[in-house]
Amino acid sequence: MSASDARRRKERVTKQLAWFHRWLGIVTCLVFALWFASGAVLLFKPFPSLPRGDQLTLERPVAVGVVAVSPAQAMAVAGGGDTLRLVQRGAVPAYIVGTAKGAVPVDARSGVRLPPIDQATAAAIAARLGAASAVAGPAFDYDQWIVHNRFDPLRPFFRLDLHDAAGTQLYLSARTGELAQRTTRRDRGWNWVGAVLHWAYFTPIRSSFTLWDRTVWFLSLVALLVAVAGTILGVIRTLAAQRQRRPALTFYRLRWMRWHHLLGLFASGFVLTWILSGWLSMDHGRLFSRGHAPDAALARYARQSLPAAVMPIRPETFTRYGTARELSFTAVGGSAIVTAWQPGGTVVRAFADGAPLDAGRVAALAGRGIAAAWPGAPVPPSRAVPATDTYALAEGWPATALLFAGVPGVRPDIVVNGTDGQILTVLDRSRKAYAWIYYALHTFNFPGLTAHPLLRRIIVFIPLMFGFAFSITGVVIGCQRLRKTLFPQRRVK
Amino acid sequence: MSDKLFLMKPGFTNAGLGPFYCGDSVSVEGLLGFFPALRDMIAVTYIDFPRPRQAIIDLIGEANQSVPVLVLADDATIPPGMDVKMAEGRRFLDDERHIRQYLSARHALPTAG
Repeated sequence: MSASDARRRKERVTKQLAWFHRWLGIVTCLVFALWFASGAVLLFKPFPSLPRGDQLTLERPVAVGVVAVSPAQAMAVAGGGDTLRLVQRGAVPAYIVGTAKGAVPVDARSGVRLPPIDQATAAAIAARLGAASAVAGPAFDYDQWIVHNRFDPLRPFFRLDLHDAAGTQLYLSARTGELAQRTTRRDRGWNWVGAVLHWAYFTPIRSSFTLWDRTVWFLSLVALLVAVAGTILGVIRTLAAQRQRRPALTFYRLRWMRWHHLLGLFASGFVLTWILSGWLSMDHGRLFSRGHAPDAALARYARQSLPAAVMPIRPETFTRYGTARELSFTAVGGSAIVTAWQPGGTVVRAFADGAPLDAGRVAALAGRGIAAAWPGAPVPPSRAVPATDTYALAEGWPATALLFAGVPGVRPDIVVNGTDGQILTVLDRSRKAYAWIYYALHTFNFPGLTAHPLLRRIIVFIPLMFGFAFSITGVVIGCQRLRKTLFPQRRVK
Repeated sequence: MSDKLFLMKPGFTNAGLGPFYCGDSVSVEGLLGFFPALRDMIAVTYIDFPRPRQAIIDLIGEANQSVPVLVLADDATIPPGMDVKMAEGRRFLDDERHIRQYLSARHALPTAG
């Protein structure tokens, strides 16, 4: 290929890149601007939630004195299951059996399956929460604040309006009778321009995980490609401007193009960082591990099925848990663990026979389970994971998380909840890489910054604002180009 | 050797943008348009945009490829106040305003008002 052919080819490729960046940029420029603006809001105002400790405080104590059905009987009524809890469902203590088809409530007094809670029961629960509290209406499946798929096993919901000064609203699961979400007027207002925009949490899209996942993944991928094309073009054109008689960073004379190019040169580093990590936030197992243990490993970890493990548990022993708001039953390393959750989130634990079970024994059982699930090397003692650890923040582990260090070629790091012994994350190399490439890059939760949230927010906020300004230049030149294309008789100055 | 003027051939593309004409060449081209006889007194070359621009490099080196550029004849007399540069033993002007001033002075043509 001659030098002139190579030059022509390079020009042609550059033009194609420019075409791609221009037209796909017109499609995505507003999305970029909204991502930057809503990201800044999200930095200070997270999506509403009802923390576990608060939820337990709001729930009524389980009426353990009237429980007559054993955990094993409840599981049999539900046809088996993977999880088992005992909660107070209105006036009725109920087992909640987690099955592949959703949560199955079983009356802990009679052993019959329970229908969804009716509006009168929801109203009674609301009345307990505040003098002015009321049910907003009939049960429903979705609204903006319970749109996440983690709420799926709990649907449908009643919304309880507390009619307090903060405009608090609570969501009560009609299936389990538990409070699952809390918002305030302020939360809702900020989140419309924060998390809802940033994550595209619009109910019609987000209520279908598949639709939302594919839509946002594809949109992010297109946006990533637009950003990559723009960065390459920006560098090519700066190099060209540097070869001019009077070298400059840009040869654009039109004001908005000039700003887009100059700001882009500066902003492209963190724009690429954020769009790449943002796209990866939608990975959901496509490229990286999800951190879940395989079913077979989970079965070996428990060393016996949950129905078998809870067989010896007698309901008469529950009275010792007094004011517990929930009892959960798990199988770990061959033993059943009964965890009684108290208001605020503290726990009391026992073996199946009612013997007390301290945190050290939970860790020992977990170690035994890990040795069975991933055999081949001894399991070292666990260590607590600091709350400011990047992996802990990325995975959302509770403060009680315990890490069992892996052995290369035998097993990855395994992180277990020290409260009830359940596996939280299989922290393999892929999952660790994901924490850095997605979470740390996207939130700047790097070691050194995780313990200084204000400093981190400032460090994130400044480039967010540059990114927003840069995106606005894209919106303006996108509008100018569209106007020029659609109305060619009108000159765009 | 007579004065040699190099101008950019119009319609070039740069970094995927264009087609362009050279904004600095166009005022010298205007002088040639006003006074066509000037073309017979100097050697005018229209050069392609891509570098290397060999015809210029051969005269004044790789560092001086920008256009417009006027490589001066050996006997050229330079009016005072002009930024004359030197490379490869040759004098040249690469400021389009000075190029026009020089041509006007050398060939007794009107100057820019």
